[in-house]
Amino acid sequence: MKKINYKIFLLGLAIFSITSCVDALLDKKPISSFSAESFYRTQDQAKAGVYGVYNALQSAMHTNFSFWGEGRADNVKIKHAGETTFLQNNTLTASITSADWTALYTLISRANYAIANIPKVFPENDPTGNQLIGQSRALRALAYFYLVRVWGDVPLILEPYTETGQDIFVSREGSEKVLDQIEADLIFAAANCVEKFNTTNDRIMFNKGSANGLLTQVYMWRKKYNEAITTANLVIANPLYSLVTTMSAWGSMFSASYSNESIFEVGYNDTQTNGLRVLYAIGSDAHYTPSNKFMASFEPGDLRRSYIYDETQADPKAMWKYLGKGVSDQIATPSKQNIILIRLADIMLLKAEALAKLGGSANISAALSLLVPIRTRAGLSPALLTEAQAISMYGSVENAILHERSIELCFEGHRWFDLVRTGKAISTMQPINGLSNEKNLVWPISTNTIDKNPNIVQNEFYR
Amino acid sequence: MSGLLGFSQQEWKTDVTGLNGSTFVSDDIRTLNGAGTISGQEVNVAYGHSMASFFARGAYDYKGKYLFEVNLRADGSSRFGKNNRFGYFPSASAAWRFSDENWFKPIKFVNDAKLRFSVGQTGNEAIDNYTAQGTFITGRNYLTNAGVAPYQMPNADLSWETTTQYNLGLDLSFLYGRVDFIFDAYIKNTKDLLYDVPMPNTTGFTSVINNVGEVQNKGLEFSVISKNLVDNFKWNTTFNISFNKNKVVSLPQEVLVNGYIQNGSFHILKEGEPISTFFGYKYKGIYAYDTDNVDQLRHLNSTGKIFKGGDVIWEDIDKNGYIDQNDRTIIGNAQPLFVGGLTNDFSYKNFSLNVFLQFSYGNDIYNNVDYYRNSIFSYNNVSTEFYYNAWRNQGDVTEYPKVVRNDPMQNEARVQSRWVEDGSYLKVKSATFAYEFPRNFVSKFKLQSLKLYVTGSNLLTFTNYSGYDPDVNTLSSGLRLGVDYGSYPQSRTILFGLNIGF
Repeated sequence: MKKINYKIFLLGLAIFSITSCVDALLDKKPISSFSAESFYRTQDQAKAGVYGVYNALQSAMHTNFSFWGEGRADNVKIKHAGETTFLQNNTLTASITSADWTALYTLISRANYAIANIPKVFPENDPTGNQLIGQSRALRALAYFYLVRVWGDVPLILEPYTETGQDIFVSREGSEKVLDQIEADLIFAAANCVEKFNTTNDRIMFNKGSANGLLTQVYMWRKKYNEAITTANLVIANPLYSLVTTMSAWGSMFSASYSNESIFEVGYNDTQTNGLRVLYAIGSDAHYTPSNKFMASFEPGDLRRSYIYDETQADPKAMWKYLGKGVSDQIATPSKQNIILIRLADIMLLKAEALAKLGGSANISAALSLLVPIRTRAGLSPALLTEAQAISMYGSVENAILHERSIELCFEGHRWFDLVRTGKAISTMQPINGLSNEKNLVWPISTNTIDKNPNIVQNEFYR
Repeated sequence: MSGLLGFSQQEWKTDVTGLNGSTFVSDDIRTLNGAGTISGQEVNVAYGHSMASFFARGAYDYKGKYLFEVNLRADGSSRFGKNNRFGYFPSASAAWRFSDENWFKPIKFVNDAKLRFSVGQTGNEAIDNYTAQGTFITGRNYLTNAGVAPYQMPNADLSWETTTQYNLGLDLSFLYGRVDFIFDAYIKNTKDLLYDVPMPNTTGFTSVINNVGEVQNKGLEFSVISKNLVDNFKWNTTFNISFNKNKVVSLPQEVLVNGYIQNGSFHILKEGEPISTFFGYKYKGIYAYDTDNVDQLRHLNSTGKIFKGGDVIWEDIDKNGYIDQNDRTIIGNAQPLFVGGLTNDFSYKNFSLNVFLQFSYGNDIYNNVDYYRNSIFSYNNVSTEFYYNAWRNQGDVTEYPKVVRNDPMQNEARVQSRWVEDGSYLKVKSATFAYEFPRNFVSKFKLQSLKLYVTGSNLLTFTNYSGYDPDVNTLSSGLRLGVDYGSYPQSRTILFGLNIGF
């Protein structure tokens, strides 16, 4: 009897030791990639995670910055069937490329991972950790800002997806609430991002200045003029930024990137390229060339014209802005220019617009004086200093500012949003493509999105 | 009576290193140091996986008449989520050799008879090694800053796909072994299938591997082994045939769109339908004249273009006057009704002949090669048949639509019944004719044996399928069978041989 007990004891011991080592045996960590558990464990990994968010921004802006910001507006002329035609002719459907928001939500997913995990590897209130979170929140805000402007109400997702069982079929949230979150993210970023990196990173990553710049754009979209003026003032006073002074510097701001006027641009290089070439310059067969209306809208003597397109041709074959004055692109040039999303001239013109909206003679003259350095640089002699001059030239101060934006910021992805923001989209586009319905100003939500989420309801106009 | 207790552990590890060299100085030096450009270093990865199993077996055998066996296994795989690594797979079987019972003795022409029953579970862990843990992928860089991004969502609950199989079998042997008969009937229920479930794009992930749904296979299998002639002229026949019916029993409702899952370009998964169901538009011919479209059927929506002469006549499934994706329907199924084989062995004195036939009946093939050859969606060559017969003028009666590059009416681009064919076939898979030299002749040359033979494989195929080979197996996924992407046809070989035994 005793002998048997002894054997049972040994057997039990064997089973116990096997089961305890089985767990170790079955714990196989990936060797050549990170598992969800093994990443976001160190501060270096946290930085790599944030660079991964910028990587998603490269993809999201690649071509769509122009489809969203210029495609439906009046400055471009099209020559290809497909996407560009659908946008310009206002025949958008749920299956067009620019109706797909996947790239923006990929960015948001990566940012949510960073925002949730960075605090775990930094001490509380550590400035390095906070500035990384600040960058991630600014990037998330940028993505949501595009989502709200393009589709209106959108799913607001602020937590990473880390396990099955989470609510994946998120419904659309009212755009005002999304904009509140965008503001909160940018206010955090403006408070916690670095003042400056002291490298070219100041142009391609979020610091305090670029967070305030984006916040200015958001306030203007929400018609919060006083707040916009406050943040614009912070940007204008920031020593990182100054208007480039010569026209050749104005040209290379786009073709060489990293200028002092630049506040935030998406970085690209020889291997991480974008769609600028296909959009604007591919050897005589670009998606977009300047529209006749746009070419006719220049004031005489405007020096910017010859940097934007070949003015010797009645029907230019390409845009020179970005790929460089005189570019022929008969041999392929890599599309590596950065895409500028925020620059000082933009913020100055937004401030001018806010002042004009607030009204009053002091504000009006302050607004018009903000145009002076931009117009002087462009070699424009007709004075535009008084309300009377603005009305005689463009009908109103607001129109004068909008016209200046249209020329100065042409093809940078502002025009359509400027028209929508100022309530001029229908009056501008109706003669061109018959746009007539306010509900038509947003894009349709792509079929591929609706098919995979039963709680997403199509925008009313496209049902 | 016997029993066994056991534990096993297994580990797999793979290291992959790739290096490419190009622009070598000359052909004389072929090692990488002679290369002008060395690349492919990024293909330098390692991965592995491990399994641990506990098992127990008990068997009982009473005089070979009553046989019982019980198995219990617990299998753990590193591939699954840490909450659910182990799967438990019991099985049991019983057999009764009733020919040994006294009451059976008078039945003389049956010499051996056995009834078998078994029930058991098995597990499947065929997924990538680290799927359940989630992946962060490198190389998501921002300029020169190395970036990392979430790539696969973790799923800590991911576990084994389990199949429960019930099997009833009967073995009969007649006329002292001249005829053997084996019969099996089975039901296989597979649940918690390892499936890549699509995710909404707002999650940042395209899909996540999860345990979903249930699939059932039911079938019958017969085989007969018969020694027809046993004298000087010998003739043996082996015949087998199996019928299998496959059905998707359930799918998780939350991943269904319009009641099904789109499974690749050609297939859907739908409750009640078999796996490998083809889904597309029904082709009914080509409009000869513009006026033949009497219903004024339109493309895509109620204001779309009207189909004209030279366009395909599509079946308007929902009868709404236009052809959109809701007009897709089931257009075929790659599962055969039955498959089988027949082997005949003949021998007379020193001559022998073996012929093996193989057949499959009732399976459809999506002939994607025909789509490539008979359309111009790409810059590839087309068949002369299509070239000469495509619709050109009003009144042309043909089966090929008009030729329009990037056709807005999508006559070519749709997945359609025009390319679905019956894939049934009967093949003379192999035949061997041999002559064995007599012993006394061979021994003169101090040899043990000498045999001369000729054997042929894939000799004949009887099929209505127009592609290269109805035995299509180019697509690896078991859920997407029967699409012919130009599978390399099996070669017909004739082999002459001489076997010499010393």
